[in-house]
Amino acid sequence: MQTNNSKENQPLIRIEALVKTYETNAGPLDALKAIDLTVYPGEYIGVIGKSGAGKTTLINMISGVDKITSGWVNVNGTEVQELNEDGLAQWRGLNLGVIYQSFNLLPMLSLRDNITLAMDFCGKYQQGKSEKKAMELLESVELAEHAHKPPAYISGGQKQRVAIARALANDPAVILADEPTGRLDSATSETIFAIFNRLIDQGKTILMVSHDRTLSRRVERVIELADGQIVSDTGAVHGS
Amino acid sequence: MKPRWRKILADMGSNLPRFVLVILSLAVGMFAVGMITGGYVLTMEDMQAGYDSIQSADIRITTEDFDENLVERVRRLDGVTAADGEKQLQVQMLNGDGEWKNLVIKVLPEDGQKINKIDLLSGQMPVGEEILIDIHRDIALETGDSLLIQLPSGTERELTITGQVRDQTIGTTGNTYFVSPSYGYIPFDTLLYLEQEMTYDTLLVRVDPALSEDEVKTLSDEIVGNVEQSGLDVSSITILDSGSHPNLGYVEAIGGLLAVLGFLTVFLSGFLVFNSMSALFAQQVQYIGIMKAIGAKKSDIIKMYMVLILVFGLIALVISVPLSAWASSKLGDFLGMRLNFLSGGMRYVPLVVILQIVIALILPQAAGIIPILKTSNISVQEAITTTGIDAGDVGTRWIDRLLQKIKGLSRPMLVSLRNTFRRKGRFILTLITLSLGGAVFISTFNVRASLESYTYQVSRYILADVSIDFDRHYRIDEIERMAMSVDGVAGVEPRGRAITQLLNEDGEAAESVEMTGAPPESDLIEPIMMKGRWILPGDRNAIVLNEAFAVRYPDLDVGDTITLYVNRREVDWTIVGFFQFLGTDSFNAYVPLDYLNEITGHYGQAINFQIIASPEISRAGMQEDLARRLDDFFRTEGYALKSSTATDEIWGNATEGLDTLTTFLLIMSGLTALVGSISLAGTMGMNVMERTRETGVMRAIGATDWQVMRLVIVEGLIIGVLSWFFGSLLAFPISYLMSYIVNSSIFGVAGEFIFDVSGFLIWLGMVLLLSLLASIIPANNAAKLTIREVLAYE
Ligand SMILES: Nc1ncnc2c1ncn2[C@@H]1O[C@H](COP(=O)(O)OP(=O)(O)OP(=O)(O)O)[C@@H](O)[C@H]1O
Ligand SMILES: [Mg+2]
Repeated sequence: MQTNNSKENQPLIRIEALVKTYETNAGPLDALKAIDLTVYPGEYIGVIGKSGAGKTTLINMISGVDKITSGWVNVNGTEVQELNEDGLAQWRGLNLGVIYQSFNLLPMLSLRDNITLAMDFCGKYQQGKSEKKAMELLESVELAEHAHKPPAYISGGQKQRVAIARALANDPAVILADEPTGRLDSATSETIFAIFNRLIDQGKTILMVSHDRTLSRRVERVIELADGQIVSDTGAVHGS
Repeated sequence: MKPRWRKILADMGSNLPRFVLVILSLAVGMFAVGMITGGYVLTMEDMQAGYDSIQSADIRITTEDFDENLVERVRRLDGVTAADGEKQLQVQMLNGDGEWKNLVIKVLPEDGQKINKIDLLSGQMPVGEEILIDIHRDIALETGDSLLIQLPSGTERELTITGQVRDQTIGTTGNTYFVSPSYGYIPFDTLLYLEQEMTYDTLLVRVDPALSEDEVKTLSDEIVGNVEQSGLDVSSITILDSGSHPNLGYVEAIGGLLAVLGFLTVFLSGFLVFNSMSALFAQQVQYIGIMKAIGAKKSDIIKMYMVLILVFGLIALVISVPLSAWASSKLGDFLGMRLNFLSGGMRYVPLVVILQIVIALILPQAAGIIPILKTSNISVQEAITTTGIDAGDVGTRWIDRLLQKIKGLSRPMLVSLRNTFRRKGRFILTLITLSLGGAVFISTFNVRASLESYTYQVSRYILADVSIDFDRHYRIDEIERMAMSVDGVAGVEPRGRAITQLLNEDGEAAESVEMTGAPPESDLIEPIMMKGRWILPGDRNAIVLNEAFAVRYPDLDVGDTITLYVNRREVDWTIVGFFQFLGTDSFNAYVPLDYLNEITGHYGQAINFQIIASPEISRAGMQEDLARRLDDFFRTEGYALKSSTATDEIWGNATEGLDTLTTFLLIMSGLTALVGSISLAGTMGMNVMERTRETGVMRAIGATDWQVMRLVIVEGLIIGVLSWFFGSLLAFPISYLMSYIVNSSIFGVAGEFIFDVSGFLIWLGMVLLLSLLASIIPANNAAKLTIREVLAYE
């Protein structure tokens, strides 16, 4: 949390000359071509672009779930490309909240246990305390009364709210969301955006990929990708 | 509890069938190993303990009648720990089914048995005109019933049965256990009632267990000297293996088969566990991805699943340990009943339990480690983007290219064929499991065939229909004339018998050799020659020896001279061959009848006659009736007839022992078939579950229930047929190994190796049926899924 206030002017995410090349049967495919990007604490950023532009790839590079081909990514002082797989997993669990289009909840666990599991893997789990924290998080997404149900018994919008609550389990500074409302209707999407707004108010930094047409009026800064390159970056607080 | 363990626990709950399949496949293997090793250990222990407790004789000497004084004198010799007098009497008895059968009556010594003790199983010891009956042959009479017997003189007597006993020494002398007649046991005083003198004619001796083989021989010579000093003629001396039960060979054979089976089962269940675990982890891929995305390290994941597997092993252990101990004891009971020993009931054998624990700890971890490592290595993004439709290896391998080339295959058939090979690893393991199971199944038939062929060959030593034994020698032409006058007799051939002895180093008579004199031109004997030839017309002092000589005196060879005591004369014989008989330890030899008679002074005489029945009698299967009529005839004519037995009765009994093995083999093959079909059902179930989404797609584009089911069933049948093919190939080496084990433990030789087509055909039928059954349930499940269910699946 120290990053949020004390280092107000220090960038939270710094990406330089980031290249991602996939080896495909049809030869190498450059999904990202020399991306430079700086994100400051508390920023609310929307990433847009056509299908195949490289949005998901960019998110994956920041969260470290896939290998960087060249360039470097620094998140909150950590050089992502230098961590090994296990190091990345731990670091991600503690510093990032990741939200996907498909909610990716574990079907065999209750909503509350889905959240405490995230604490467990980061070594932050303490029996009573963690469960109380999980209940508070569910409370904040208005799902406390469903805490003991399995994900199969709630709606898609509710699932995504649980996924957000889980992303917040270890109180990370950064939230990465890849089309979080992609599977939801517009009314339900509203509730998700409302939660994001609240998180920004609390000082979190959010990087969200979305096809939502109204995105530009919701976020402070919009980055547009096309063919693996940033073609526009509007509303940047500190310029880019 | 930490959330991660709650996840594992919840996994089990929500996915019970797959977890049950994994645990079941583990438990089956551990059960089989436990039952097999436990059954073997229990049987060996019980058989040994039981046999030790009866104090079986080390030396058996038959001689003329003697009394307790001689026994007392022998008892005092150095190295002798116990001695008993014994007398055996061969009579005819009328069994509960109204048939006359042979009965050997043993006399219990006056001062109680100290050697070759019988176990009283029910009832009480006999006094006066009473008798105990041994249980190894069913005489259809019960305790309290009266037993009618006919003495050699023709006199009939009645004895009351007072109880049932087990005599574990049956099979130690003369006939092997399975061809032995019924035995009865009477008090010493009852001899008078049976027209016998109150004497013994056999001396049983137990020696100090510390004595070496040579020392026992020396002691035996000393005892013989003592007997001869009393002015008695010794007719036979036998040194016995008092340490092992006469049916130990069968247990060893079964033990050998069990070892083969146990070895295979560990493999089979290993494959099964590997397959079911792979399927389990295939399903977990996505969850592992999610867990990694929220911070789980690879080591966390590995640890979680290793613990899960440990739990599997423990559950399987808890199920299989008591169940296998129970099954072992049942196996022991079965063998005890068939092989004449008392099984000691259910108990846990520490070694077996430890073995099972080790397997529980190692096998599932070994089978699980590859799938665990594979799935834990998967990257988050890969796991999360996994769709329901998994192409596997379709289109990339030669098999698909091959399939493309086959013209005229229908589309659905092509889909089935491709599906079969889609999960290469799983397909191969299932194929191996089912092939091995099939190979064992087929092999049991081959082993049975080679056992039967061996017994058949052995039965060719006595091609005659009836064998009649007299108590003394009679003129050959006289008996021939008399026998031919009986209706249904087509031919008669004489046999001479002599108990002869080998010489020890000091040139004294040692162990006995049972010598049979036969006409060299006889065509009633078809021997199995191990070496050399049979006796031929023109031979004089030629001798053919049985396998016991080859085993005990490996230096003996064709052309050598062997000296035997015959009729208290040293006689030199030229060995012309070695023949293979029932694998007994006792020495047997065949010589030309005329030469034997020359030595014994019984010119033109014989003591045993082989009777050939007329074709009508043989065809009607009336040999037993002929035997009975011959018996009546010779007794009425005043001949000292000992017994008249139809030979097919002897072979009927002989195959009984092999039936035990055959039954056992059948159980074995059933077990392997079971393991094989569990594995096939598991595979088919997993395949169908994995293709849930794809099935939905097919349904959505118009496939009917039957079409969906047929895809699965055809796939099952393809695996079945392929496994039959490979199983048939594998059956060759496995049959060979199993036949070798069984034949060499029972007969002491490798035996002939026979292939029985019926095994191959029956297994083909069975494997088709099993594949059908194993795929029908999953097929039905696949067809039942609604499109909505499948496509809405997340
Ligand atoms: N694992 C992969 N292997 C090979 N190529 C890939 C892989 N993942 C993505 N790509 C390719 O990289 C390019 C960028 O993909 P990406 O998923 O980042 O696009 P996106 O902007 O998220 O698209 P969408 O809006 O459809 O989600 C595409 O051309 C895609 O085909
Ligand atoms: Mg995308």
